[in-house]
Amino acid sequence: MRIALLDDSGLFRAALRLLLETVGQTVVGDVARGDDLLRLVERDRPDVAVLDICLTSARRDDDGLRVAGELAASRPDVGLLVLSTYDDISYTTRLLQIRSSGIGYLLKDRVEAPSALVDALHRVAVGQTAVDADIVARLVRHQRTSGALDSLSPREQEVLRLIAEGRSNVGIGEALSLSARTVEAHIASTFGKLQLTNSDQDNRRVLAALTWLQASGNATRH
Amino acid sequence: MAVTLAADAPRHSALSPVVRRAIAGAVAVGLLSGAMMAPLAGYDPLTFGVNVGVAVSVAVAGVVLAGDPDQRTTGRLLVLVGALWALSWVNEWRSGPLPFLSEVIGPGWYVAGAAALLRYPQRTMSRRTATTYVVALGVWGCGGSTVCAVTGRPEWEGLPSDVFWIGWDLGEKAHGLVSAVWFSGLGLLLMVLLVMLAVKLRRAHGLGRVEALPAVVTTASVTLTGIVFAVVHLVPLPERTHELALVLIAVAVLTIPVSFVVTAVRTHMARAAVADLVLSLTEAPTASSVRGALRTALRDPSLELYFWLAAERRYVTEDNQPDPAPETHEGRWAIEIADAHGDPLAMLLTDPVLRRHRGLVSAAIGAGGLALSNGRLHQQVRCQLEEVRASRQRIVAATLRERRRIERDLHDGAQQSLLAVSATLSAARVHVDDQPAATAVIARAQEDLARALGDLRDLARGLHPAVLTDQGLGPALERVAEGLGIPTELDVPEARFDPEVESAIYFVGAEALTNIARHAHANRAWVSVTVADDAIRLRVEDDGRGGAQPGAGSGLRGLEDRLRALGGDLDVSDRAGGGTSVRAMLPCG
Repeated sequence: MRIALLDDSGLFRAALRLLLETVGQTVVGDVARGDDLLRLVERDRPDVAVLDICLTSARRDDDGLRVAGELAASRPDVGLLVLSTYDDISYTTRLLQIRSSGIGYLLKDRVEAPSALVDALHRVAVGQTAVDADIVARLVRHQRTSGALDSLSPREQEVLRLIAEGRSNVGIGEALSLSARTVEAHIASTFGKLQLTNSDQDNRRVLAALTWLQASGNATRH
Repeated sequence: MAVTLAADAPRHSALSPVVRRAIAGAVAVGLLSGAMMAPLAGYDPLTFGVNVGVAVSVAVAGVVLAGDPDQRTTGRLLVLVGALWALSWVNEWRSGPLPFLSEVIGPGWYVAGAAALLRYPQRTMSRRTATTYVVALGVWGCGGSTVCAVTGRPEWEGLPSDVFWIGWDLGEKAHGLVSAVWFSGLGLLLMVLLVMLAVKLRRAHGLGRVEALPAVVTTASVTLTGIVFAVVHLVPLPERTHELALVLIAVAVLTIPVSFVVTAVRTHMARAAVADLVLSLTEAPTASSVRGALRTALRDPSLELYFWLAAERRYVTEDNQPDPAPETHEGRWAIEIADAHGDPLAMLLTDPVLRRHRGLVSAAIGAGGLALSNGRLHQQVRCQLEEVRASRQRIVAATLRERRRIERDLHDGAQQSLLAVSATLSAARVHVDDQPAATAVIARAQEDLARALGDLRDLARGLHPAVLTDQGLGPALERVAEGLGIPTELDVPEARFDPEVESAIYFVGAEALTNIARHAHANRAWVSVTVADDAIRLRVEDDGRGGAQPGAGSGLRGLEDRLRALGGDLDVSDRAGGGTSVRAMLPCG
């Protein structure tokens, strides 16, 4: 797989490049600025662009999100994987709204296990969605505490978690060792209980699941 | 304690030279007017007595008034009024040029009187209209009387035909017409005078009104009788009525000196108010109470008081505002007050009317001396307190800035470096995939690294959580609640506030929630943030066992200091129905 890197920390960028090349990926280039990434992608046509969400250390803003947005508009065929230090759900949902496929949000902590990183890279490269398992797990745990998940069976809770991580039906089936039909049945009942609209086509169901996990239940905000 | 008016105050106690002058003036004017009206004494002693009394009392009032440097001209005008009044009666001699003279300059006394009363109590004629009026009255009064005299004959006035007289006989009819026109004009002019006096009284305030009122009322009464006199002259009436009008005028004129006496008494009473001032300031005086007392004593509601701050070498208002702007001095009398050592103590901005009452002002400032000194101390303490408060606020803000900077450094620097090490270790692990011992060592290093990252993030969050900076109170408190393991209801507005406010409220909320998780044995917790009346209010409650002591948790104790530095408040109490309630308030706006 051909990968382009964007991160304003040179140290981390170099280490990530080393890791990716060690596990057999091709890094076409690593840059520190958003504009450089856009040029790099134009020139080298990578399969996936990996970028940090916060690019200027002086400001905490959505600079990475802006670059992601421009990239999604100009190169719909290039997968986007955001590597972030923010385990914050709002960045995730905002990123997922940029486009409906080939997009992912992972914590930088995943570099400790290359398999999760490579798995996410593959998924966004083929147009699927990837959301960091830790972020989803934290949301699920929180909702479990509040009792909002009481209506779901343990298996349905697992299904909801995997949907929120961006797994396809096949992926869920593999993860839980279930047949495709059983997975579909679980998804249907889970979404039915949570009154969510199911859609297997794109990341809309990921967003729906994440939004539900984030907003519903105990935290009422105005 | 000696307090002095920086500007020197004239002495008011030495009246004896004035008394001497008054007696001398009374005797002189009495003899002069007695001589002028002597024939009247023979056939009408009452009228004679009244008129001599009028001349003497008016002249004496003038002499006394002239003793005040500010009223010298007014006083001299009054002496002139007394003299002219006596002169207007010399026609009683009925011989030589005296009746003609009386006829011509007879009206002079009320021209001089109008001039005196229009200017009193000011030093000069205050308005151009007043000057114009006096000139017009003089021209019409004395000029008109001359015209009347030269067109008339002495016998028409009931005088012997052999007296000295200058004139052309135009016939009694023409003379009557001229007289009628003259008297009508005079009546009109006197009515104008009434209007001017009313305007003047309306404009006067404070002590100015106290002074002006009796004089104005007196003038009004004299003027009214003058108008009556003019009407009497125009309408044919019996001789008796005519004489009655003359007596009426005399009695009215007699009220002039009385009015000046009344004024003197009233001004004196104002000075007595200074005694009340001393009494009202016996209790611990504040800047505003001193100002209020001075306002009352000097009858100037617009009076302003400023205290001198020696450390900053400037005057400040009661609210610690800097030196009053120069434009507020305009049209005001600025009195600088010094303490016993001659150092500046305070400044008064007063009604300029009080310039004529330096003695009174001096007495009031002297009486308020100790209170002024205390008032300044009070003001100084207030200023220092405000300075301390501002500095505490600056310290809190600076601390916050520093914490955020360190948090950012940890996040962008140390954290990225540790993550880079983690990635490098992962790569190394791939390389030694076939060597279990090496893999285990690297895995161990990665675990340690993960722990170090966790510690680093806890440290950064404790300094200042990034989610608070990025997304505000709601998401930040939500993150805290998520980690508690207790169902927590949050009701937090999305609005953003000053970083200091958000930080203080967040840390109180986080500390209170952490205490709940640790000690409360609660099943539920509630967090609400409300904004009303320019204040943000946080309430954190639980349904646990309660009994939390305010200030017991050292964490909340430290946060209370931080809240107070920002003008806020913290309260820990038992919640109705069990549990604990932590409430924090901070001004925001």
